[in-house]
Formats: sequence, structure tokens, C-alpha cells
Amino acid sequence: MRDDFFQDSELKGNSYKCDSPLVLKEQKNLHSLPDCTRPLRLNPFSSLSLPLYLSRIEGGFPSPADDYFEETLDLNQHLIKHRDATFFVRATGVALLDAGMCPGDLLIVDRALTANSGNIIIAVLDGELLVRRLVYRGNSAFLCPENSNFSEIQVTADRDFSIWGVVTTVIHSVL
Amino acid sequence: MSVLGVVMASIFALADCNNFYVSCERVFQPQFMNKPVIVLSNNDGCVIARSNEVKEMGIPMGAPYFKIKGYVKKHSIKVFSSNYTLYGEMSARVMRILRQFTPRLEAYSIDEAFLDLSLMAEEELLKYGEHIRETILQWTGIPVSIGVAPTKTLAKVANKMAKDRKLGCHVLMKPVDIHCALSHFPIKDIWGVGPRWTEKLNHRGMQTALELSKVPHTQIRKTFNVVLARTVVELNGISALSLEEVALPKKNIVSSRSFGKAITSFEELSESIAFHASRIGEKLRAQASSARIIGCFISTNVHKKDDYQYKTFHPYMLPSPTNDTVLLIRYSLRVLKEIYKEGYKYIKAGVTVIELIPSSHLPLSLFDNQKLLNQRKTLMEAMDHINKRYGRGTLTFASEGVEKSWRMKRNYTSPNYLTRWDQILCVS
Repeated sequence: MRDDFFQDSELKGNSYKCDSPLVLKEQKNLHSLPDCTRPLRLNPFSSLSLPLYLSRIEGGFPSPADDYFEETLDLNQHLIKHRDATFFVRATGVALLDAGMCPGDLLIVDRALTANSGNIIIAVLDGELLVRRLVYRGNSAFLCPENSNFSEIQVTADRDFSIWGVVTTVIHSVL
Repeated sequence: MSVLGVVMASIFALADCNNFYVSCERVFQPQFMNKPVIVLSNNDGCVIARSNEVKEMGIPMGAPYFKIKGYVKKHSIKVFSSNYTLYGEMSARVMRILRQFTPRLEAYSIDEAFLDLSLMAEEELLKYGEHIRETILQWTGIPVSIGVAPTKTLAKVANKMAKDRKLGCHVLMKPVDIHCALSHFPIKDIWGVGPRWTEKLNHRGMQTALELSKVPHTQIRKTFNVVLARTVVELNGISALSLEEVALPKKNIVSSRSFGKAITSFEELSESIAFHASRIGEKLRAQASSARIIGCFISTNVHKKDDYQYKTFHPYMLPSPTNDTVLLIRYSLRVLKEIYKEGYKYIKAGVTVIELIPSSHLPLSLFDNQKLLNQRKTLMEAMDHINKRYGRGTLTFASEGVEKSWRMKRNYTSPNYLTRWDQILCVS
């Protein structure tokens, strides 16, 4: 019954309104774009924050949905765990094509995570940045592509190697 | 710090980013790690940051770029124009990470912060300091040096020792360690002691921090002033400078720039003045202040001995305190009209506002049109919002000029990796 109620109220939008402070603010300040044209911003510093209050009491009665209120879904919160260690990177190559990473994709990179074997990482090899899958075999580290046109690189002692960050998410736009 | 009459021992840590601007650039361009790098001031004027490799080459801080251009090319020194947008973002990150390690933090400058670690046990300090350093290095790529001591002044000593000895963290808590450290620490390197006092103290036979610390602070207060007296108290392990956690709103704001090339016409100068007035408007609104007095200054290049020189500043009392850009531009241009003289080659112009009051304390004036004021306020807010979202300068006033021939030179800027989608790091 609760789910039905939510669905109905979103469509109706009269006596019950789930107003986030973001929506309220924009209505007041007149410089907003309508919701459907507003681009989704993956900005670690923005926050679609908790609503200040749950319903606009136009009709004068408190909404029965008030007790069931949940935070609206926030992509920043969902995708970014360590905001101050997270960076956005644009993938430009095809080395990980078979893993689903295409040129132009947006990568969310978290520097706070410890890279484990199997993770896709941004690596710095002899001063150059590259994105590959990190694989440990025995005592050696390998930077592996997922594309038959590329070969894996063994990180030998003579090479200058460091892990820049761990790729947590690949965002591929289809529009 | 005293609780119920019991004095708690204070512990301060100073976390200081190594070669901050250079380090910021290196995070996104790691091919320049361990290579000589310099960062230039606004207008690519002089060196404001050097990597350790460049320090060893002997290039001093503040060296004018045009003087060292040949040397830079010969030794393949990488040059960056300052990218304050990037440095500000990286600094904000470092400060937020530092906040995880202490409830009380003072962001002292863009790359330095004091942390209050008074609640920690002494034997844990070194490990904690090293943990802080490793976390910041991993999370942001910025190397940080940490000095820990009972006072801020001593924390600065410890920090310098950490840097000089290439340690991540150096703790200076035991009196015997402090004594030893101060006996090798020259007076000129003490925080707050400038060249004038250094000379005066040297004259009186003092060379090391230890010697200074042994002088009774009351005597220092008489012969110098209270500031140096506090330093002496601090050198003795007693905290006299507390943590300043809240940044006070600025009491005056200046916006000025040197020009890329000399300007002679009134029109071009007024574009520059309008630009600065606009910037000041933004800053005033950001700190919810209004200004009573606005002033303009213009100057020729004093280093060009052959040019006719003219340098002047003129303040103007605003009819009522304001942070409205339209009014700030209007009045600053009025001042410019008064002070402008033809035939001079101006190299710098700026606008300053003084006597700032909180906007909430604005007195109502009989002569102000309240409706107009409200409309203007909404307009300003909308402008600020758009400029914040789409980048500074998206919306400007026509009086700021479109061509902006006087814009400063920045030939070597790195991308805005953290603030523009079209400039984020690309990796193949």
C-alpha cells in the first residue's frame, strides 16, 4: 500500500508534495532550469541534501507519508565514498575495451582505496598515466589490458611504477 | 588552555605541503616528478614556486621570469602559469582530510595548517604524524611535512627540521630535544622574526634560537615588542598563541592586476577598473559585507626609468554602504575620471574597498528606492549563481570590456582538472 501511495502522490502533486530543499530554493530564486533539462552533476561537492521538512502543508493536514519518508536518491552519495580522494578521469584509449571501457567514458577514481589484484587502476609507469587491470602473479605485478591488440606489461624493478588510484566506476553515456 | 584551574599541556602539529603549487601540478602530470619545475605569478611575472631540483640550481624565489628564460630553456625546466583554481581545490581537499585527524584545525595559509593534538599521548605522536602524511599523500598525491611540538612556534621549528632532514614527520616534545634543536636553529628562521629583528638580535650577540629563548620575555617586550616577547615564551614551550579556527571576514578587499602590456587609453583603463569593481562586488556578497568607501589606484611602471611616472590612489565615500556591482562600477569609474591623466603608460590598476560592514547592519536611507534595491539584489544573486556554475566570467558587465586587451599573460596554465568537465584528466 505504501508503494502505491508514493506513486500516486508523485503524479498528483497537490496536497502531498515531497519537496527537497533544492527544489524549494530554486522556486524561490527564479534561476532554475526545469528538472528534466538539468544535467546530472557528478560533483563531489554538490549535495542533494536531506529535505528540510517533509511536506508542504497546503491543505492543512500532515501527510500520512511523512513517517515513511526516505532520502531521495543521490548519485554522488552512491558512487563516491571518499570525496576528498576521488577524481574524475576521461578514458581516451581502447586498452580495456573488452572490459566495457570505451573512449570518452568517465571514470570515477578513488585514491583512498588499496588496489587489489584484479582491480582496474590508473597507474603511473615511468611518468606516464595509463589505465589497466592490476594483476599480481607471485611476486610480480602486471598491468593487463582487455583488448587483444594490447599486451600486458610486467612491472619490473627497473621501472618507475606507482598506483595513482583505483577505478571504481565507469560511466558510459549512450546519448 | 586551562580547565578548572588545571593547565593542559598543549600539542600543536604544523602540517605543511612541500612545494605546494609544484606538487599540485605534478599530481596530474606525473612525468614532472623529480624534474625541475617552476610556477609563475600572475602575468607570468616571477617565480612563486620551485621544485627542489630548481632550488638546488640556485634560482631564487621571486626571480623575474624574463631574466631566467634562457636558463630555463637550457636546463629544460618545466614552466607553469599559476592555476589558483586548481590549487584552491587541492588545498580544500587537504584541509578537509586534515580535519579527520583533529577536531581543531587552523588553516593558516593555502598550504599550511595547525592541528591541535593536545589529547594525544606523547608516545603516539610520531606514528600519528606519519599516518597523517601517508593519508594525504595517498588521497591527494600531495607530500606533506609535519612538525609536532608544545607550541606553534616550536611546531614550525620541528616542521623545518622535518623538511631539512627529509623526514615525513618530526616530533619535538622532550625538553632535551627542544634544547638541542634550538641550539642549532638560526634566529632568522624563527617564525615571526624578520630580517630587521634578526640584525638587531645578532648585534646583541645572539645567533641561535636557544640564545633568544634564554632572554626574559619581559626584557624582550621592552626592547622589541609584545610579538617577539610571545615568540620567546613560545620557544620556551609555553603556548602563547592559540589556534585561530574561524577566518574573520576581511576588513578590506583589494582587486588589482598588472597588465600584460602597458595601457594608455581611458577606455581600456575603465574596462580594467570595472572588472575589478565587479570582482570586489562578488567578494563582498560572498562574505555578506557592504563597503562604505571605494578607492581606485593606477600606476605606471616604476621600473621603467625612462618613462614618465604617475602613481595615485583616490578614495571615495559611497552615498550609502553597498555591495551592488552596478554602483561599485559606477563610482569607481567616477574616481578614475578624476585621477586619469593622459600620456602615461599605465601598467597596473586596481580597486579597493575599505570600511566594510555586515550587510545585515545596513541602515535604511531616506533616499534609497527599496524596490530597486531588492531588484538589484536579486540580479546580483542570479549573476553570482550563474558565474559559480558555469565558470567565472560567464556573465560580466559590458563596462568590463569584451576584448580585454589588458588581460594578464598566462601562457603556461595547466587545465582546471577539478572544476571543468571539459578539462579533466585524460588517460589512455
